[in-house]
Amino acid sequence: MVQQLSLYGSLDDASYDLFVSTMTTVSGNPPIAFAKLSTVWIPNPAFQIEGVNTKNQLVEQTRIKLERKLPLSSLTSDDDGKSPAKYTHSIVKSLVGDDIPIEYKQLKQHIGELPRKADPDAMDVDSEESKPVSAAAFDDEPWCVTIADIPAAGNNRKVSMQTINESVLMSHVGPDTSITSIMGGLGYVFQYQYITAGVKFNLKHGLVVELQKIWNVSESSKKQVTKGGFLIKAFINVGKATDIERMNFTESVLLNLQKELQGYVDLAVPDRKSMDSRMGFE
Amino acid sequence: MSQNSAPMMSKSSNLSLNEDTYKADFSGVPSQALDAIRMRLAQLTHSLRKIREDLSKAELPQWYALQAQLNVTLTQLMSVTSTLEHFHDTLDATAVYPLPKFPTTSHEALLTTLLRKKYTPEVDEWIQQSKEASGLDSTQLDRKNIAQILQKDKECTKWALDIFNEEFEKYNFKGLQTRKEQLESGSPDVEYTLESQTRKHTSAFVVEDILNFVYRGEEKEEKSSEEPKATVSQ
Repeated sequence: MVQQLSLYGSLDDASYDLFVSTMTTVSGNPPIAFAKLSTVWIPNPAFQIEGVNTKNQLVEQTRIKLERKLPLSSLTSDDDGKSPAKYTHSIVKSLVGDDIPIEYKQLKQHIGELPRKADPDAMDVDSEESKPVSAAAFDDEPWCVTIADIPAAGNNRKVSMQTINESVLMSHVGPDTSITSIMGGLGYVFQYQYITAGVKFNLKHGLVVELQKIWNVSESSKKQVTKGGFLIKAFINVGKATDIERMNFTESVLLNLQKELQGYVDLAVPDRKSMDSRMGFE
Repeated sequence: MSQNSAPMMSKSSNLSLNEDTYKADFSGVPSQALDAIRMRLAQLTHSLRKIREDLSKAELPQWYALQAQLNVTLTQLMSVTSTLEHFHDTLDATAVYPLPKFPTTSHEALLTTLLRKKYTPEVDEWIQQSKEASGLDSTQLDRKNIAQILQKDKECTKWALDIFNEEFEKYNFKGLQTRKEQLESGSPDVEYTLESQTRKHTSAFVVEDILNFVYRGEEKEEKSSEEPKATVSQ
């Protein structure tokens, strides 16, 4: 369980190059491009889940997020014969529209909802030839399981503070090894998914600044949520919420960054309600 | 320099010692000269005081702020000097004395200070210092020679200043072009500004809308005339 202290901001597409070079200078580190698939799961509505436990305490139902790394090669459609060195932060810049060369079906294969071909050995060969990005190729890729609480309340918070439980799912066994069946075992079903691509910078004191573009990939359409810009997320994870000294220090590190970028990019604390992943009661 | 004078005193021609009937005649007071000098001295003392305050602060002001302040002070000092020079004749011919009404006994110290004609020791010291600094031996040279030397010195200074201005015009201390290039190309001064200074980034979206999607899968309704869906209650 970690405390994540964060600040958010936004950036338009045209400012990407300038921001990347600014952050490279500020951090002294080159930008790191990344891409990931995020799937969000909700408690199965088919079950009658009691709102209270045996002690008559309210039980909050929370969404679970499963994330898995995607190769950068999946972000471009023309990747034949290109060396891995080509996949730099410039690849992110080219992604401005709604379209992204990742198909809904491929993503469904990731979570194992769409049946694959019967023979796994044969399929590996097939997929290498037909589709460069096949879910099967990433079966060994671990899933990151995340449950997040709503950020801490308070009017004069200078940074957003959120409790996050995180775990890594390395492998799973059983007759049906898909992630859907595992989540089904926990009483959870798939709700929606999105793809995040962007760059991140590692700064001192564990500070990470991420530029993200997010696509909502649904069965019928692909839509870029962050159209025309980038979501900026600056965050630091602190191991224990009780480590007040560390928390205060971390907060000041974030505020320093905010001050440094002031007038250029304004980092702010978002409305905590927008970061609430609980189911709520209707 | 001429002796400064206080307004309470005047040059009078018809002095009567009868206090009841005595009327001071202020017509002889060179009020215009005194007022001009007083105003400039007030400015000068004000800026000198400001410099002293600035320097005594725990945190020194920026160097350029100090320099600007010093420039102002020097200009004011020059203004005082030229004003004194301008009214030199009038002030030199003015004799100062107290009016009969002046409370001589109770304010003797003030009176003697105001009427003092001899330089105070530090002023004497300054005069001596500047004489030494000029490198002229007043015991060996007479007034005429000294005036000549000073005149030459002034001419030399003027020449140096002209040369400096002439050279300064030849070079360009701003921008990316040399003066020569600028003259040849005939283009007016181009202002070079960094892109980072002019670039104002605009936000393409509201951060909360994105987070609503990331955390709950809520999508922002675009151009929908329908009633928005009920949001998740907190």
